[in-house]
Amino acid sequence: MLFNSFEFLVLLAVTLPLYYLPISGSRARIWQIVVLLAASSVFYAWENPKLLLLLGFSCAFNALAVERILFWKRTESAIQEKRWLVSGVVVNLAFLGFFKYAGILLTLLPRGWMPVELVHGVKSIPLPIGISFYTFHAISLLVDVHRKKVSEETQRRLGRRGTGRVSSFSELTLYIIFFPQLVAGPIVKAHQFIDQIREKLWHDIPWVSVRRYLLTGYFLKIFVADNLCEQTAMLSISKDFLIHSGPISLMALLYAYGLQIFSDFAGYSLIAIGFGLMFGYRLPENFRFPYLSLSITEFWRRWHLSLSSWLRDYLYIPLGGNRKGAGRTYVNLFLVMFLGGLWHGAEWKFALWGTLHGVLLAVERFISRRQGEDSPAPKSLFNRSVMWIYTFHAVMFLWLTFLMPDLSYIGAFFQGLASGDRTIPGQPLFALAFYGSVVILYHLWGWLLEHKQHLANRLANPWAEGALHGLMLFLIITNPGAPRGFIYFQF
Amino acid sequence: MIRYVIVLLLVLATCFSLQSLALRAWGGSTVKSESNYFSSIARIQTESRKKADIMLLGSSLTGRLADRGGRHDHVANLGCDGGSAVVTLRAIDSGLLPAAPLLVIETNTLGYGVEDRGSDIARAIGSSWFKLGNRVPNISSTARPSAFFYSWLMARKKTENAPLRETLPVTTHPVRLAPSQEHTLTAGEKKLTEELTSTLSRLSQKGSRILLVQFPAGNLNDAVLKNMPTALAAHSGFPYWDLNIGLAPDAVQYTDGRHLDAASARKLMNTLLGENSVP
Repeated sequence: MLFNSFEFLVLLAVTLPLYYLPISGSRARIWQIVVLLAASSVFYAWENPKLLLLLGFSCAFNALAVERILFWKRTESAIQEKRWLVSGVVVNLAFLGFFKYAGILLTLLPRGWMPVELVHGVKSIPLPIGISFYTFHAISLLVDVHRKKVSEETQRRLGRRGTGRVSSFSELTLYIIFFPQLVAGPIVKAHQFIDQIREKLWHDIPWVSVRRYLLTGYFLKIFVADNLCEQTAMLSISKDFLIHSGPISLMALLYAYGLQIFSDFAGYSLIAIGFGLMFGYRLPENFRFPYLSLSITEFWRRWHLSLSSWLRDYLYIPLGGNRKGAGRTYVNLFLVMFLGGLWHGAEWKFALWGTLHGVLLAVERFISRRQGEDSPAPKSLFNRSVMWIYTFHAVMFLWLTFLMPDLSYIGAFFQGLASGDRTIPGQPLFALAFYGSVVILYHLWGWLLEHKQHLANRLANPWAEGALHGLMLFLIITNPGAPRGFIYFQF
Repeated sequence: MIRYVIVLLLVLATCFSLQSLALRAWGGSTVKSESNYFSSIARIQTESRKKADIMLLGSSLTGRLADRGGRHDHVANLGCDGGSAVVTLRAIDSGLLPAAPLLVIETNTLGYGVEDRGSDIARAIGSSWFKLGNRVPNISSTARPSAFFYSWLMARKKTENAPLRETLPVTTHPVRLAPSQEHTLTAGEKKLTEELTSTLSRLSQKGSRILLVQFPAGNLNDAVLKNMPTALAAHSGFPYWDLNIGLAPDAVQYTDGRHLDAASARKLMNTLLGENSVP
């Protein structure tokens, strides 16, 4: 189900009043969990109910693993505890690997090792929606419980035995399938979510934040991303188109794609955070004005924060992070980005995208170490401008590996870029200016918040906000793009 | 909170009022937007409301006649960018759109129907958003703020001087092709030809005259699209007019190799109107 669909509005209209029914005592918490589990199941199973079985299996298995980890923790049997942790993580990864990567792994085998029908059969298994996200949730849960990162109270609740298992299972399942973050994040770490499970009250809803998140999110998605999408689809339509397009057209489309993917994903994340707040759960921020970055290092501190943070906590640091010397740090960076790229999809283009980001991160780390700084942060305006141009264009050109069907398309893109055609394309340029300017203004607002806080505070008054929201609402109603799914749903 | 709500409502009211004024200033519909999808929907929404004598059904080749060939009160242009006449014919046949006494069908791109091109527009025509837009002009595709800006930019561009009365230098007229004529069609084309023949017959029985027309379309002359027009004409028995026959290569000009420029679009429009005795 999509956040921008009529069905979702109906689901929300039914769920919200039921969720906040005035029920007294400890039953209120149980009731709210049941309502959210039911709504999340409908949300997830709407297109394909069969997928619920897979999700149910994942939740049941992880509930068992968590209970076992807590049990062995109580009996102070570290070996058994670790065994359950490792088995849990391996099963989750195997689950993800089978449904997402089996096809690509089979193609690595020498020809003839596997029957062709089997390879085709495995490749044709549809990717269960949101599997990358809920698998990462599950792994986070196992590790956080093992590392005692969740509160004592939560540990007690999740480790209940006998009939209490039902309650533990429902709470743990709620963390994994809570609908705002189920299919495209933000990736919430267990300790950020589970401790929040308690009775929620209607009058605690922070409506001002909810309206800001929802309106901005829907505006970015419906007005900006969906409208830019029609133009940027041309980039992957045919190689012939790329070869015969001039540099102005191609660059306009590339910039438009960069702004579209930001609006699409940041829009989704903001909507998810808004709905999370509506139901009393604070989900982590996922974007912090990424196109203000002055280096790729900074970009990853602003883009898809929940993934970067997950990879840092559960992969980069366990691999040794930057504590084992310069060489190992570069290898770790490279490896984490390679896997982070591959997390997006079972195609080598995603691995290439991640790897190239990893290379740039390693190069920047090398330069900043030589300069004796934490990150390359230029001081002068000229240097800052140069760094911004470098970062923005590096990110934009790397989106090509993300977007194009294969490498030959990228070749065709550069062929077109090198052509002398100076045709000025009306539609892409107009779309870039009309819709892209919103993303530029959004980032300017971010710059004000970071550098001119007093000015930002002066602008953020109810008059200005009401006027801005009125205009945004008007454009959402009268100028929406053709309805489309979210880009990150495919991951 | 109260201040916020008051300002929000005031701004919303102002925006809708300005939009209504702009729509009135544009004569009830904009010319085109940056989106081919919404341009098509806007065209179909606006034009299908007209009490027209002639309805032009086709792709962007037809749409161009509305964008650059001038507007006519008694002609409804249902050009469907990225699609073909198949999309609008099906919509008329199923009662989603009205039919005019004369249906002029651009045959150049009928082959696109085999690949189901324009299916997104077909889906939109059946949607409740489309119907709501028909009733509330402010949320119709022709009233999109981006369409006002884009149409304004297009109007500012210097266009070719298009003679008001000039027609294409063709001497041919619509003919009926012999049904025995052999055609090499793929299975998909054959199926579509049969479907369209039935559709056209039904529309004809309901009182619409049918005219199949092959437009001048520059480089859009690949073999896949070439066979369907004559096959449909022969199979259905409706009058067919190939405007390319006897047309000198420099008699029309294109903006991008296949879409007519304003002067040529107007000439084509005048030719069609002249043939059908519309002033």
